[in-house]
Amino acid sequence: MTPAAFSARTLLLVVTCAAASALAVVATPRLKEDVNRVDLEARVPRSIGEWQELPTPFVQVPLEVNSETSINQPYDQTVMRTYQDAQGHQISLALAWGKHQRQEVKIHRPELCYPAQGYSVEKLTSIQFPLTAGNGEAITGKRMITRDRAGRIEAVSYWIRLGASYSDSAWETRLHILREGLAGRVTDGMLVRVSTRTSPDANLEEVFARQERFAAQLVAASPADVRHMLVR
Amino acid sequence: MSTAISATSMRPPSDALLRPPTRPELVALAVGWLLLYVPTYVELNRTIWSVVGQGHGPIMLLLTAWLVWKRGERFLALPFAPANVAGVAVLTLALALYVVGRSQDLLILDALSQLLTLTAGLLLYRGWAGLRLMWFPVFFLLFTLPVPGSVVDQITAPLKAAVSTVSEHLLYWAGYPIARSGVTLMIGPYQLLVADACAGLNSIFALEAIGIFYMSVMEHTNRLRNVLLATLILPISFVSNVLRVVTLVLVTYYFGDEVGQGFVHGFAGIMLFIAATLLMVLVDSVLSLFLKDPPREPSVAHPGTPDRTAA
Repeated sequence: MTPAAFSARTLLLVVTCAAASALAVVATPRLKEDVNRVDLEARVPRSIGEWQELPTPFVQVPLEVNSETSINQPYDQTVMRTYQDAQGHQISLALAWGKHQRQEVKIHRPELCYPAQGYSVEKLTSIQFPLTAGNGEAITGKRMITRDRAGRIEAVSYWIRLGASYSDSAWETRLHILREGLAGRVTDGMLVRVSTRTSPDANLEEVFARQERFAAQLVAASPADVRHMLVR
Repeated sequence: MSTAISATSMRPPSDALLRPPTRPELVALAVGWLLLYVPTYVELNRTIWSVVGQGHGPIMLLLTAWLVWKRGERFLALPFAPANVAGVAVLTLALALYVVGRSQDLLILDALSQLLTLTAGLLLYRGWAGLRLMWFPVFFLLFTLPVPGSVVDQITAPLKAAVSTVSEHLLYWAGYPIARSGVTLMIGPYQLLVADACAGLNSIFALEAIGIFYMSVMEHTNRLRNVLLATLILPISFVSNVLRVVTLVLVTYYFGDEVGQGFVHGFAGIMLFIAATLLMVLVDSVLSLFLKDPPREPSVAHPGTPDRTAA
């Protein structure tokens, strides 16, 4: 028999490489249904308890970190509004939702967005919102005190939901996405951010408590499909 | 001196691979590699390689290919002595990393798997002797990996501060009206912010790669000279970065902001590499005054490789 052009070894190796390449494509989690169907802008209530949406919202700190290309823009829907109550308190609301959270393209933490806009983060603490998640536990989020270049204070409270987890550790977030991904599931992500611009001598504790109550009211006042996106 | 022929004749012919691989086989192996890694390269190109200061990736890849090709003939001349168990083990690990990395968007894993896949290939055809011959290109693939952003940030900040401080002192010493606040340099009416790209780990990383590549091309056999050169690459990168910042400051001072900014985006990066390469050659020539390479064997085609008679 004449020597074959291919040894069995080479053939096997090349086929193995091709198989691994194909397996990687197959194992990539994909969205199965059209999860983008809830229109947040239209469905998030404009009146929440005693709070009314202001027709001209404040300009808010953007949700992106500036160096991003449009391909890496991690959000599919965003909502930015300002609400006011009867006493004239004003709270800015920012919602950002991405249907597919990936390791490198995921929701930005406000403690990264604010410095990118020239704010300094003075204080960052974990808190429990007056809200329960699907597993019955209180939703964990963060409180952040920021100061802009002119010395103005902004109090920010937020939570980030990735799938059904509310972790504040980058490692846990990555692990969660990885575990879900290996199971073939796509993880969506939601940032709920409430913020108040205030003077340095304001009672911040009160400001935080008010905007966190507002966030809880927002969840309660939302229709079920929106609520399912805000908390899970 | 070469043991290739005697070793081959002592081994019973076990496989078609006793002959050198045919061209179709080499092409098929290359295709296998591309099937795996073209998606990875596309993703790297879309993300990491387009970031300022990380653009060296594709060059590193080409240099690796060249390094492999340069050793190719010697590799094929080795006896067919596959390390099957180790090869299959490494390949399994490589492809597992690859599949997880690719499907779960963990780019570092599929990029890292390149090293293991290449290692497995070497082991499966020429065993440990093949790996010893090709270790350098395998190692060099490290420079194609994306450096995690958090690592970059941690190392970049102190480097940036150091580059700014040294540049300020140099210019002050030379009599220029310069002041510094953090990483912002003020000269005359201009303010310059020393950006990440100007001082960052990324450029150090690329320069280290260039330096190591230079060493592999020079094939010095004096071990001390190699070690000294490899160590000196770091200060050389640092000095090159200082040179770049000083040049940028001076260009801005004399020709204005606009020319300065044009310089940043156009020529400064290239200048950095030229400066680093020249410094490298200079340091190497100084070293050559004290550390001579041992005389090379006149009959051996590639004197850079260590003797393999013992193996």
